[in-house]
Amino acid sequence: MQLIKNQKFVEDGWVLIADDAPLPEQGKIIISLERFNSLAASDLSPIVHLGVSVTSADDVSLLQGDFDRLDLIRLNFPAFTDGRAFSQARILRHQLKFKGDIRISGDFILDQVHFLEKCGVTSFEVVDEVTLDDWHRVTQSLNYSYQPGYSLADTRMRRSRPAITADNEDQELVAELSAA
Amino acid sequence: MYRYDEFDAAFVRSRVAQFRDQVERRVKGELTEEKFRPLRLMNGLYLQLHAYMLRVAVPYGTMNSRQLRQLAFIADKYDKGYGHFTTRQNIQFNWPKLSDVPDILDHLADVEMHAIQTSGNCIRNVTADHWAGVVDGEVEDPRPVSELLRQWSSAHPEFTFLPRKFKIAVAGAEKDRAAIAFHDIGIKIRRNEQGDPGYEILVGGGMGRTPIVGVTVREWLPKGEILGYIEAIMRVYNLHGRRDNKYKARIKILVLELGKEEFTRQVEEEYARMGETSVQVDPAEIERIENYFVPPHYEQLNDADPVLAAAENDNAGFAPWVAQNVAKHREPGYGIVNVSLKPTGGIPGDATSDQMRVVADLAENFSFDELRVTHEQNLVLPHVKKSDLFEVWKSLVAAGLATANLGLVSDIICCPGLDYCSLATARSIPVAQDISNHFSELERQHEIGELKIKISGCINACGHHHAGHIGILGLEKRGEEFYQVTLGGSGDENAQVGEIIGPGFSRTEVIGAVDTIVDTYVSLRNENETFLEAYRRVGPKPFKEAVYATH
Ligand code: SF4
Repeated sequence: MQLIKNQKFVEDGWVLIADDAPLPEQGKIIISLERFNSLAASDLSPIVHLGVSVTSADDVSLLQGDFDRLDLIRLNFPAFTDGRAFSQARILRHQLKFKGDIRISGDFILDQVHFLEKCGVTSFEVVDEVTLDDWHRVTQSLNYSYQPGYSLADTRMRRSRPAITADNEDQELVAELSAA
Repeated sequence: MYRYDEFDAAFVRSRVAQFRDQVERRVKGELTEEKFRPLRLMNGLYLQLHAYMLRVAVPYGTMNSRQLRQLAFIADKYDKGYGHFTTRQNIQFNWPKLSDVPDILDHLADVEMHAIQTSGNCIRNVTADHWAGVVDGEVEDPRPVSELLRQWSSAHPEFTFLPRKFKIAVAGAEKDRAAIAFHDIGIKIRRNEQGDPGYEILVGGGMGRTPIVGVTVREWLPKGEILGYIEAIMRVYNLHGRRDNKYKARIKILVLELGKEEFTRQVEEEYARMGETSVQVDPAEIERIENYFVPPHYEQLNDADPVLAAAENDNAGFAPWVAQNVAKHREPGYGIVNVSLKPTGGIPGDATSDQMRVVADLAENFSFDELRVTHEQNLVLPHVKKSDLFEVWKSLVAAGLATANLGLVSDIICCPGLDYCSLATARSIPVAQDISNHFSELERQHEIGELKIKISGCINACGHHHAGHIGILGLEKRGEEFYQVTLGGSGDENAQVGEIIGPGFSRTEVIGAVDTIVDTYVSLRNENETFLEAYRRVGPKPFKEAVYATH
């Protein structure tokens, strides 16, 4: 598995911890939502960086109260035709203003990446062999958008919008995350 | 009508380039057929029984002459010289080669057309009343909001991998010619008590194996909120629609399983959560689109036209055609010309490239360069001066397009069925042809009056048989085709799912059954009572008795 973030391969500093494995005391760990829900705050080391992995059937809005403990939320495509992760990402990023990394895993395809980014996804677990050239070509092939609320910093839009909107906030947030 | 601005044009070109790349990756083997499938479907490309089929969008059924001529060119160059107009106001080409499709899409883009989202599990081409903007009694023209929805739904980042396909239809008048109650979302433009125009929103209608009439989730929505509200519906559906069973994946099943109250509550809750800024459509954008649909510059005319009256007297075939196929226009001295694509014994909805060019010329010369495709698989010249009707009729007669059967028993809606479609369980076209031949006497058809027969070649119901006054569904049992007949269906403002009258019929029996049903109606009707009215009065009993007594 390779990780792509901001159109580049990056080192994945995160470790996915199986439900029956002991919890590390430090580092960046991703645990399942089920395990996360069963833990008390005191079960977790204060210096661990925490990510949670949810399934496409989970209600991500229930995580809102835990945002300050979460640096990453990992969504999943059980099949590439199952598009629930698009709405989950949208809810997290746009409605609930989650500021951490939203990561995609599972059976997604290259042609969905751009849409996912517009919904607020920031990193991708890539299993297939893919070159960065392919990634750029395919994921940036339709850089026009009719949906003002889903724009990225470089998306070409027709419609101008009022100066301060939630959309601009989103854009700023994405720009910030890209710079980070 | 709407014209692309630079942005629309660039978007469509960019979509074509993207698809060209996808086809290349498929040809090189970088994409498996399984992964290519949803991508090609999102560009209207099906793999059918014999070949690929390309479905081209005609947004809300409106076209100009240049566009229709381009379709004729494509039919000649890449197909077998004809195209098939569908119940979703689109046109299908049955024989394109995969490697030609990107070029075809470029030809379409040259005339501001595309095949985007004409299939696949995404928001499909939006349909609307085919007499939009010209018919009496309209609250507002349904096309501006249809165009707004077309743009908004194009390559929507969140709603392109839905549980199942998603169809939206818009009606602008009390009289519903867009069958909105049989769509995933139906939008009806209506006024509230203060007299302001807004939208009534219906959800969960559909045909297929679970035919159901949509329910109203909002009685009246302010115009500016339409995109936000639809977004809320789509999000609830995308997250909660069933993905475990293809036949239960449409939104109608979600509405059915949750119940109207709970579904509406979830939508309203989601809508409230979205907040003001993501909800309102920029009024300047609505105005920009509406400006494309202002009425053309009509001449000030008297409604009665002496040229027309004289021609009606002198030409035997002309007067019945005017009476049947020309509808009342809201402007005095003009008529709405309906061009029948249902010649006796023909294939419903098919048009040759020559016929397309004839209609394109007529649209350009006599109808402010505008034409429409109807969900009943006919064409419309929406604004023809009454004094020009005779000229238009003569050209249509010469092209085999002047059958005076609009809304009559031979004006049959029919899906492609087993002759083309890989999902079909039986043939549908030959049944339509047999019925059309059987009732070839126009006089008899006029006597019978309005009667809508709709035929599907399988349970998917693309031929809208559930909404047929007489519906025919082709099925298969032990290798034999047989046909189930329903009565009393209707796709209008009093939408109703037809009732099955009893055991099915063989290919040869079904014509006799239809004939008996028609005779029964004629013998029991009151004066001026249409088939549907009579059926609603007497119910299925007399029809069943007559049909199963003789068969
Ligand atoms: S109703 Fe069935 S046979 Fe007819 S076009 Fe649809 S899927 Fe094909």
